[in-house]
Amino acid sequence: MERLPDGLPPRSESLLAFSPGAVDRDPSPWSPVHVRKAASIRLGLLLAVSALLSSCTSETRPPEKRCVDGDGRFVDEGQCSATGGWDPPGDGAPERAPDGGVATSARSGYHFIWIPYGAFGGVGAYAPGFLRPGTGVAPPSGAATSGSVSHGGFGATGAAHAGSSSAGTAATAGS
Amino acid sequence: MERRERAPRPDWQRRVEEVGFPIHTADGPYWDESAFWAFTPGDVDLLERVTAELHQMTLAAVGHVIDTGRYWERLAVPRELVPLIARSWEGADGDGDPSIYGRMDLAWDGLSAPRLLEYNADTPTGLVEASVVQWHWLQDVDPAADQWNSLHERLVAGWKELAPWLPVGPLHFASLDVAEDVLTATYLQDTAAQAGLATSFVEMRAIGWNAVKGVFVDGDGVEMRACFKLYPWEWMAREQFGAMLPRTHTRFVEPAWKMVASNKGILAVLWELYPDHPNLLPAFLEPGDMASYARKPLLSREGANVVLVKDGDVIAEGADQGYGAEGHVWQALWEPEAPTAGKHLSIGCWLVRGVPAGAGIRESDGPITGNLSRFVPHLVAEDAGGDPRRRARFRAIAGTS
Repeated sequence: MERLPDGLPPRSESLLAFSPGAVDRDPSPWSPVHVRKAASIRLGLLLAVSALLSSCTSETRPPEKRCVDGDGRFVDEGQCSATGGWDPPGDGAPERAPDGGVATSARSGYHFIWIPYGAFGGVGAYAPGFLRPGTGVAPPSGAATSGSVSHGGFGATGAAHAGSSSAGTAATAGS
Repeated sequence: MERRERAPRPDWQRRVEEVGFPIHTADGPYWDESAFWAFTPGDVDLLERVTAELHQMTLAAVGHVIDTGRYWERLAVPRELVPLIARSWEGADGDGDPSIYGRMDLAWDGLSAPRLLEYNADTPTGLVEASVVQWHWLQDVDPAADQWNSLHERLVAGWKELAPWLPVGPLHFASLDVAEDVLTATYLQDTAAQAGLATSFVEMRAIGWNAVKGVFVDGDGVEMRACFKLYPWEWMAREQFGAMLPRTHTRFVEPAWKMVASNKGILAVLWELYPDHPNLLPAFLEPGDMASYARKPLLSREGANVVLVKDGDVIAEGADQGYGAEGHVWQALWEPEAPTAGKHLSIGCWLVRGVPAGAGIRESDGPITGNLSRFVPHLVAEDAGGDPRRRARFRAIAGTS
């Protein structure tokens, strides 16, 4: 990056390791060009959420948290609760998958997902800027305290922007 | 590059829903496959190089902001958050707390140099469309063709890279209860799950603070040791739990230093550091004497409250969503030198772990890209320059029909 001015070095050497093209994989032996698209796309959790949204006919159905396995199959919530309430390893050392590197809990493989029924305008419809005023799990703004735990201290700005969005535009937290 | 019309798949709505994207239609199609953009491999090479260079420049600009301390007030960053930002910048043994993704929006007409419109570094959406939906579109209409899109593979690989940095326990994914945001966050959660991570989802407003333990918890009281949040840092910072952010040990993805990178004021810092760079538009933190410019709120999303001025006259205004109180950046107005099929284009160039990984094209009837600007798929073709014989030759060489 010769255009970097003096005194502004790249963030780290690793940033110079940029190589155009796709991720490491064997190129097709017949291909004279570098393939840039993903070889395959596997989906599990996303399909579980979208399938329920696509089949949803009631916009007033409350949102729900569901437990799925890695392939997006719905399983008993207890599987996720066991994972969510992970047990720290006895020696305090992080657990790793057999291939190293990957942080995991003792019972990974099950995942809580969120089904935003009421934030969806029906099959095929985009629901501009709609933000449910209350989720049933937390107030829309301001913290509610129960014992030593308070909830609802995040999300108010998004709710305010959703409320101020104009017709035909969506106010999400994304950009 | 060129725009080509093509009849949509007869059952396109069902196909799009089947691959995880039920929000394909607003007033008209948001996912619009009545046309596509064809890029030559050389076009993609250029966009990749430009995206990589702009990303490095942005990192240098973030470091400049943090090191000099001169910009906090002008970028409307609350002083109390500066230590949090600096800590995240120095995290991970000095490499900075890691990022998983970002999207640079470029203006390009295929003729002049691509120019950076803005960097959506903190909470970019449009990811499912770019990574999944257009990939399946291409598999249906021309499986032998290529596409600049290794997003999925890179995301799975990226989470594996982040794993050593993540504490033991589930990686939480948090977003507002908005369909677009939930789908985006769930897709990222999906890729993390495929990387072997234990994950869980929490609606943003269900996040709790355990005052005894001094930790964030999800709706079930499970400690959130690590959290991908599809919710802007500046919103979190000003909300009730914002005061807890400097105290928490929760590791956030995207990291706090993205608060600087995603601030549109970074465009002015970039121009200050790299004046006359061919891939930047002049940008300033005060109006100056430009007659034609885009006035953008420092903190805004999806074109909201953007005002375009040409020769002193307002020619377009983004939707009013109440942005702009913190200040603005004034960026020179970009105008194409070559026709773009009568469409206003924004080429979203995705980065995964800092590496260019694909593109998503948004088309608008007006000059401001908004949340409902149509997503139009793309492919890579040798003949995108115009000569159909080149495409036939390319196919013959590739051994495809």
